[in-house]
Amino acid sequence: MPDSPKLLIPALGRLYALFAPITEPLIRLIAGGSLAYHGYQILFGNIEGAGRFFESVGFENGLMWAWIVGILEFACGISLAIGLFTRLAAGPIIVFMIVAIVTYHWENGYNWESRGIEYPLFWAIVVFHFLVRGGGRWSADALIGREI
Amino acid sequence: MAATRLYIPALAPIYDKLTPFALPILRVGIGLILIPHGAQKLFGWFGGMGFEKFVALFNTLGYRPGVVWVTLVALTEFVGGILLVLGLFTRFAALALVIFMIVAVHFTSGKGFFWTAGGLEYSLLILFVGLVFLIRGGGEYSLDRKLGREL
Repeated sequence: MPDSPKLLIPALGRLYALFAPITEPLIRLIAGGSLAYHGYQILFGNIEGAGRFFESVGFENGLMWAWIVGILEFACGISLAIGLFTRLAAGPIIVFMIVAIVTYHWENGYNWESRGIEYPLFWAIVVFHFLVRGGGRWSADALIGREI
Repeated sequence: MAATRLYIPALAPIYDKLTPFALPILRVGIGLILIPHGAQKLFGWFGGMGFEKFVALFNTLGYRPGVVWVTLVALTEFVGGILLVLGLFTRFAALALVIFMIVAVHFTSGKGFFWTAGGLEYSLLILFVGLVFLIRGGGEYSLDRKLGREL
């Protein structure tokens, strides 16, 4: 970047340059990994319980939704975490977050402590980054050399 | 970076057009989600219980003196959030946020991983996104870039 600002402490520049390439792969890993853990919890934890939860918040055929959400979270989460078909995974995750906000979290207000919208909203914003950028460095997409 | 080839090359112009906005959107996003928390503590806005009650809460949680901790946390959220949105003194704001989130991850880890039970995952994501801007600074469309100097 030719027009990067001058650093008040120039010596820190080397530190920044050293770590810059890993910052985005790290948030991809965290955002995807957390989502996959949610999906794992539904699929391999208590799918009947998840089904009852979806019915309690107004989804008919809750067990079907538990499977859909569980598979989406688990598969797209792993896909995002390792950066494989990154953009293909990012799209459904963002749609899922928006649906979750509109159908459930909205009525819980803003704060995450009361299951409000802020975390799913932030999650969607983070994932949007990878919808635009793709897998980037340290991703399976980069390893393969092709992506969506 | 060796560019990956696209399965659908026609999409490349869209990606190229959006790419300069990707990190700024993330920076504005993390700033905006923090601001209501700071305003809840400082002013009682967004349905918050206000400064006095947060001080009492922090005291009971063991963060004493509560006045100091609530002030630090609320300024990190409110002022830090605004600075991140603007991209002004970005690395200062990000550093404060990262330190706060390390404490927050530790605190929420008492309730496990899942956010629905009050766990650590949300703090963890904020921590690592904060780290992005601690390392990268304001970047494009930031006041830091306009000023031409930053930490």
